[in-house]
Amino acid sequence: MRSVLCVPLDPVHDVGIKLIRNALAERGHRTEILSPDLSMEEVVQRAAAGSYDFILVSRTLGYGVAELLARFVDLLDAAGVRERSKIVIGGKPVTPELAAELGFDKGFGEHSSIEDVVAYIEGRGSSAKVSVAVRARPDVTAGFSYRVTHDRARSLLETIASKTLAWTKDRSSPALRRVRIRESMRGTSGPELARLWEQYHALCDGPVVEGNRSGAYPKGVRRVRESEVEALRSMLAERVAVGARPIRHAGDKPLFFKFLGSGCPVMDIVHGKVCERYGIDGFLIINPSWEARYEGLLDGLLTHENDGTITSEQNIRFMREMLDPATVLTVRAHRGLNTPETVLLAAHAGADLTKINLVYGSLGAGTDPERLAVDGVEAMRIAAKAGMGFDIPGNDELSGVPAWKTLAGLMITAAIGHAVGARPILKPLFCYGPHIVLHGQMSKNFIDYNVAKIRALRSIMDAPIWPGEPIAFMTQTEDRVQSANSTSYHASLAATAGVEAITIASTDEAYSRGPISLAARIDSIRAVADAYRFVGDARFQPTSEADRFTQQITDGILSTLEEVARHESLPHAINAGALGNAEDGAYPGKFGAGTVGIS
Amino acid sequence: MNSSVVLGIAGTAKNTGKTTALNALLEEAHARRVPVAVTSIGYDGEAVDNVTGLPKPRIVLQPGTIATTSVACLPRTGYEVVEETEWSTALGRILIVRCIEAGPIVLAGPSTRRDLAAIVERMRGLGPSLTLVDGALNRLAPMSAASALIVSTGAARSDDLRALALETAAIEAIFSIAAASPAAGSSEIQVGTPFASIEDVRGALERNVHREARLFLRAPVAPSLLHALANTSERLVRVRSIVLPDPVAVLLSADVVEMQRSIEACRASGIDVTVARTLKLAAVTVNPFIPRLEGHRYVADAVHGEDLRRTLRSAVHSPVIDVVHDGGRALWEALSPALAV
Repeated sequence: MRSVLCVPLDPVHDVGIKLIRNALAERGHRTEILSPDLSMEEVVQRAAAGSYDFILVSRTLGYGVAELLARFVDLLDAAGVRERSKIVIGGKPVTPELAAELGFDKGFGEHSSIEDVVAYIEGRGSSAKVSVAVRARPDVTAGFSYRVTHDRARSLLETIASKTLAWTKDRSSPALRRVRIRESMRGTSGPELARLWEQYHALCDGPVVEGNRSGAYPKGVRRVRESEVEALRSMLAERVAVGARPIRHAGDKPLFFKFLGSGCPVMDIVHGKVCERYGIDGFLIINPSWEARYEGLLDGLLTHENDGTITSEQNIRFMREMLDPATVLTVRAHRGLNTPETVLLAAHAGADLTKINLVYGSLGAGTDPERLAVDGVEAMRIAAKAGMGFDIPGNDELSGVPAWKTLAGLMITAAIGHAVGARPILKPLFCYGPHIVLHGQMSKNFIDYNVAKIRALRSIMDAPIWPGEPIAFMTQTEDRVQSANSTSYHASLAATAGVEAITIASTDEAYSRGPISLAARIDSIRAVADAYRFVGDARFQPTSEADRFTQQITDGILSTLEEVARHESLPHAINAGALGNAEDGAYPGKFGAGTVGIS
Repeated sequence: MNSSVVLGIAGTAKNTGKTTALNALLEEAHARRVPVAVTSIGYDGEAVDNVTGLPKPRIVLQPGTIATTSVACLPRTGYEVVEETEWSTALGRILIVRCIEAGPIVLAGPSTRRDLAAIVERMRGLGPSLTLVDGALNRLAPMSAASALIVSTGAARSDDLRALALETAAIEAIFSIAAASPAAGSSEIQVGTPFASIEDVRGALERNVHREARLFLRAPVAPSLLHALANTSERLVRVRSIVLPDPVAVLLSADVVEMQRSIEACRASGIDVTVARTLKLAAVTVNPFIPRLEGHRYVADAVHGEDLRRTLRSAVHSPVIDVVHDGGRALWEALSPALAV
């Protein structure tokens, strides 16, 4: 049993010390709590008159308070109290460094729990341990069978997958040839490696060749300087990692993801480190739009003075190295002409997931459907071989495609991926998309239709679901408070739906007019954490409309699959508008058209 | 060089220039090939201030220098651990290290008087001629274990130069309180209560049969007690002499000027005031820098350096050094009487 004197030096913020006192008393320690209106001199007299093992002081800090506390420590020392009592400071901003500077034996701040304090008092394993939570890197795809439970959908998806795999089987593209060269480069050096680079560059567009050969990069691109890497390393080395603030109030779902794609890997890492600290589980690395239009990839640790971080192997590796080992990294691959190669480099650099959608990649982002089918299937094979999952974003909904066509596209990509041994993740949008605006499915609330999408997917396939990309798309405005609120409501809905993960935007994501700001990232994270605390284990209750919408969407998915199955293969169906047509606002892409050949 | 010199650097507030003075002394000692050990009564050498968020001078040690740090602060390279001690700080166990290759260090050291004395003794075995004790904030208590002190003050303490001069003069006066002579004639009465009141003293006197008493007061001492003892209407005429623990204990008891006035009041009423243990005030360093709160952040500001130096030099007899303006050499030379055998 220990004897503990609790001293609330701050009359307003004494809840914490009262909780600690209760916890200590419950465990049989002798505790005494002083009234908060005593002068420092009176407190010193009381501390000297008793015989306490510990004196716990709680106090918030402001300028001047540090000196006040330092004097308090001095008085206790001069009065001989420190010869028999350990003195401990607790308060939100208290860090071990501050406690040491103030002269306390121990400090507890906002990252400490009551149990930490009790453990210290009881002398249980608390010495010098910095609270770095050791987390395991989560696997979004664990535990799913990918079984298609809906009979009709199963036969349609099998038909589409086998037709598409048969069609792609003997076809090749410059991207596939580059992948073979990249694979040969592993473990080679000197003249052999130089020869392979020559072969590689023969399959690349001019800007890529010029950049790699002579350092004449596209506008706004340059190498990251050694001094910049060193500055980042030394800045991070001086910081002691603290345990992340939890976003979830309970349980381990959903995981929270954010985008990284400022253009500069150093800035991405700094943002990433801060987001990790605020409880983010993983990041999606988003590349520049022009990177998708060139054949071939730039090599090296590169920064880009515009949207999108270059997905070179070195950039991905740098981010993997600097971010927390438990952080999940996803690298976008499906936009453009380098899909399989990006997946290969991402796998080499230690990324966990990649992003491939054969449909959206051909519609919303403009890659030729045939090219993306050939490249995408190969990319899925590489992902499968590397043990990487891949997520399938349903962002074609944003161009006006009805939800059921988008969701059918997710299922088709998932079925093909599963057929080649990969582990796909379905990413329906939680959005106020153009088709929904026009047809009024969200005129009464934002809950029913979003829930219906999840229910429809679940009624067809046993696969992980991760609403993105980001959630609350098209509901956010330039008003950061509104934006944070909207994100937090949609995030709460994700908890109701029991999904595996969600992607959340920063509050200035749509309106930043440049790199998004760190403060805006924290806005939305904190808003979501607060919403999770508020909702806790309670859940939203959809209305009966959700059932009607679920049926409508499920029927729509099936009729879309019927339509796609009638075509020779997936690219033919996309070109024919089966998964989104001109009337919807979707157009098959043209980049890489005519580059697919029989191998 | 006196082999047992333990020189503390104490500040009257944060940002008064303790670290700058420490760095200047480390540099001078290195240039003069004086072996040095350095510890801190808190935590120092970090790049950014824990309270104000302003950049701070780093602490860079030269090969051979002995220092204390903690497990959490141990530099990755350039230092070898000589000993993992039995003492702890809020940052973990205290390590005694030796610098192998010049480089920055974050010092962490004992926060109590008793532990500081023990650590200094432990480091002494490693052969330093000079042990420097870096202060923290306005903290003083552990400095009782030093043999001489530098007091760092300046605009961060007060930008009212007259008030600063008054306070610094009071500090100097407290350091110059004479050592108590060995007991002679009168009885010795210990009052062990911190901030003892006149009632506590009366109680102690009642239990004492001798005609005249020498009163040993435990720190902290309330100035109100000294005023009460000085006031003859209290009729405590038997108190002829008061012995206070040491200048540091007197300084930290209350407002320094108020404390000094109460001591003067005792002397004026014929009571002899001495300390059980003296401590030398070796020098005063001054710093014109002020961290000022603007909106939600601290910004650097300064008072006029020349005014500050002139005002303090006319207020005290001790050497007054502005380390940045006058240089480390001036500080070292000003200290030589205190550091000499």
